[in-house]
Amino acid sequence: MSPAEVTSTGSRGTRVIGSIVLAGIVFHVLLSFVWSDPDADQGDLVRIMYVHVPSAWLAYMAFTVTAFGGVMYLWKRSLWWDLVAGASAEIGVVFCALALVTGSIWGRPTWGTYWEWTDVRIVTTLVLLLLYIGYLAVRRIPADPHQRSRRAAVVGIIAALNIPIVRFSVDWWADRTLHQKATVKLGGTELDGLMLFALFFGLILFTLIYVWMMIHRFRIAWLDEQIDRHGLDAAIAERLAESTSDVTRAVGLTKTGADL
Amino acid sequence: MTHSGFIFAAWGIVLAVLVLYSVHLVLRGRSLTDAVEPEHRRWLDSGAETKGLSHPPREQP
Amino acid sequence: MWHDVRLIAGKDLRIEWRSQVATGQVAPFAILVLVLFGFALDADTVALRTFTGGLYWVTVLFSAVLAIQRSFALESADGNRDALRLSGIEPAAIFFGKATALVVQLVLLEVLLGAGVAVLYSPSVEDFPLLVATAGVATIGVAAAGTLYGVLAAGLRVRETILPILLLPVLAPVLIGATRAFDDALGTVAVNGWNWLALLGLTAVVYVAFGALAFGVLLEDS
Repeated sequence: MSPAEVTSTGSRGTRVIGSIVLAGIVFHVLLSFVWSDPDADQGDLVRIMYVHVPSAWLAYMAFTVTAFGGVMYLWKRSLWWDLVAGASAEIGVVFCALALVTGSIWGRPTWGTYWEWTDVRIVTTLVLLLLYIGYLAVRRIPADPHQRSRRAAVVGIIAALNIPIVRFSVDWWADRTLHQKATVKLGGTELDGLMLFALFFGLILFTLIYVWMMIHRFRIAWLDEQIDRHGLDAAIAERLAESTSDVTRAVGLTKTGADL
Repeated sequence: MTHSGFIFAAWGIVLAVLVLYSVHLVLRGRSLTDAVEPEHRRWLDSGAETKGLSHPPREQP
Repeated sequence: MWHDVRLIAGKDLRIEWRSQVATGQVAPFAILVLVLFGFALDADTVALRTFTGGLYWVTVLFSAVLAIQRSFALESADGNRDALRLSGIEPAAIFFGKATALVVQLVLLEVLLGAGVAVLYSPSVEDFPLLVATAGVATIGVAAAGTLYGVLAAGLRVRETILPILLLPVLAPVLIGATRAFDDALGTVAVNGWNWLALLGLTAVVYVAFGALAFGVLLEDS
């Protein structure tokens, strides 16, 4: 596609992926509601898992990309990696919030409350969300692009390093022999074949959604960069033009160079 | 289906958020694309990658 | 390098000695928080005693945020950060120096808070060595993470708001670990505090190592 034809962040690639995603969503709804059966333990509530698990999976994957992007940026100093990191973090926050909300909704009829402190996964995921909100806040601070990218990379890497520590701490902390373990295993002792398939299909579908979003979000980030860069240049050019015309008037010259 | 309220709420929120965020991305993408000159609308087109620069060069005014 | 570490730490501590910001402002703030918890928990002495560990460490964390901001506010005056960058001192040395000064200030604060908590919440101490060891190790972790994020926030207009939101989620494991260890040491919960101390130690090592590596990168940009 030649430069002049680009009118949006979409492209043939995104339209293809988008169409596949739309078809996939229909298929996933059928899988989750029509073709699969209720779980032996959870009953129909397992159907929430078919969106909850993929959301959580994508949240963690997106943040891994962010941390990796940060490492690559510090190593190669390539803006491309920094923009990838930033785009992935924003999308990751969306999926993370979805994971928390769906998990909480699932929890209400299961645990009796919307929040279960002794559930390691939900608590760790909440800390993950907070860490990445902080990361996005750092990216928004007005700064020289190099500065911003470097800062964000460091913050992203620390956040990623912290996740296993948080997970381990909360796991240990939540392991109270006095209380019943809050996490309920899917499918009782073993997962039904169709359930497993629905979960994996959801994973693949959400991954495609992530890819589609990444392409758009990366291009948006790139355009933002351009506007910052050229916006400044345009402003400088304007000022120069202003001052030149001021000088021209002051000196009394017209376009033809004749004295006024 | 038991607990249908919860299940529909969860699915509804997921689909709504994904759709709304996607629409937001597309709309933002379009308005930003309009604000930028055609040669700089894509990473590849600006030549940044081929020139091997870490940050694309500033335009000369 | 260790000479430089002593230099930087000494400078920070000397400034504190003269300006008395930590003693005059941060310490009273910390005691205030303890008192506010008393009001918030409706003076329920059983609750206060049971949750002494957690309340103590939340107070320490909030106070630490102030102390860290102060530590870097020092460097904003008169182009100090530029002077530090140009001084030829290794960034890691600056990191260790500032973190050490923070540790000293925080430890003194914790002693004061310990007295405050003893009076206000009347916990019973069963394992004093565990208390001391926990305070020491947890403080190292807090100071290391705090120094790293402190330098990031240092040059920014939004420094007062960005520092807590970056630092506190990262310190959640320290809060969990230190509280559990204190709970054991104060006899309020049947857990193995020494195991938690080990986790705190691991966390401190990770923060110190990463801090020393990344401090230079962030100092350049601040």
